[in-house]
Amino acid sequence: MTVLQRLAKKNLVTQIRDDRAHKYVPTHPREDLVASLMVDALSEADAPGSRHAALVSFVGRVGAEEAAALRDALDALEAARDHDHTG
Amino acid sequence: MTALIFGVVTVILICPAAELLSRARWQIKAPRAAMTLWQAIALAAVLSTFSCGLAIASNLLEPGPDGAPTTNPLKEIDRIGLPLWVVSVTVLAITLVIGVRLFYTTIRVGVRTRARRAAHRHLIDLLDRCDHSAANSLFDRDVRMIDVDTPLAYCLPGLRQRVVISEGVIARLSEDELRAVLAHERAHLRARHDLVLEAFIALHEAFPRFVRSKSALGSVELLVEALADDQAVAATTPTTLGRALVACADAVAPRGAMAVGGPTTLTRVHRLRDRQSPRWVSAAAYTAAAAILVVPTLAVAIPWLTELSRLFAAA
Repeated sequence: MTVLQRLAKKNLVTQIRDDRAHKYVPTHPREDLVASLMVDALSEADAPGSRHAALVSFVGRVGAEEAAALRDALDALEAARDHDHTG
Repeated sequence: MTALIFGVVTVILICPAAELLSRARWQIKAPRAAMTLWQAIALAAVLSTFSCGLAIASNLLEPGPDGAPTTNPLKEIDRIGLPLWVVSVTVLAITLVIGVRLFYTTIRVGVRTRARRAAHRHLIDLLDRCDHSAANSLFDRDVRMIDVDTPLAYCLPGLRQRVVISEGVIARLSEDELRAVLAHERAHLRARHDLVLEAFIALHEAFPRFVRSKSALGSVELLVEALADDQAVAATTPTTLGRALVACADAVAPRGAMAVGGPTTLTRVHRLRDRQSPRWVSAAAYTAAAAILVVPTLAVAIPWLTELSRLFAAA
């Protein structure tokens, strides 16, 4: 009961009065909540020099050009390492 | 007067110093030293702004013929002349405004960040799909997983810290690469990099638009990542981390979209090849950081202290 009331307070479930009982239904489907989390996380990763450091992402988002450059850089890194190991 | 000159010199020096440092290529190879230098510059900038402002404003306390400064600010107009009085009052007002702004922004940034983080944490705890059973030793109790195909990995710093990864990350990365990602995020959490970022964000927001430069905040963000990368490399290998970085960045890229950030990810992968910097570079950076903080302080404090001791000797 208290758990559900807390969730209702956070607007995650909706309370429905049914005579003397309380019924609860989820306010949002799971997918919506996950999507909102993702948007939150991505918007944060999006803006370098953004206005908050609420969360710290592993990588920022990159464009197509940078993605290609990244793969080249990785190839170079792997080649250099292999060279170190063999040589 | 020395204080005033030094204040002005410091403020002038700091602007080019920040600009120069942000373009310096060595900083990415010696992230810890560079980070120390940035913090010293930021602290010195704040201190010298205030001491400079207060030194100019102290003209208002010009003593009269009887040696006592007047308690009525308007009477000082007769003593120091109207133009100098107006300048002093303006500078004092600006200094006070900057001080209040800095205080207010720090609080505001802190409150806002924590509110957002808490909201995110509530949701992530609710939606967690992580298997915390003993068989899965890779994931500690504070690891959360969301069922999203996009590879996402980030951490929520703070007292109730969380490391969040998406199913997309687990699907794309090998166990070693996953270990590198987790080591990277743990390094952020352990060293409280978020506090450094927060301080620089507050500083960035508090100063008027024409004074501040984006260079400080951008550099510090990159350095924080470099420091965490070093920890991840220590836990795995450079190649492993490189693969993890590229795999995560690649898939996040929206099709046809422009890169929003600077080329920070690319810089990070490049630096994995050659992370060694000569020892003297770090030593020089640490020395510069110490000098930036100590020299102006001493230059201001020593004349003031000698003046005080002379007063006491005379009494």
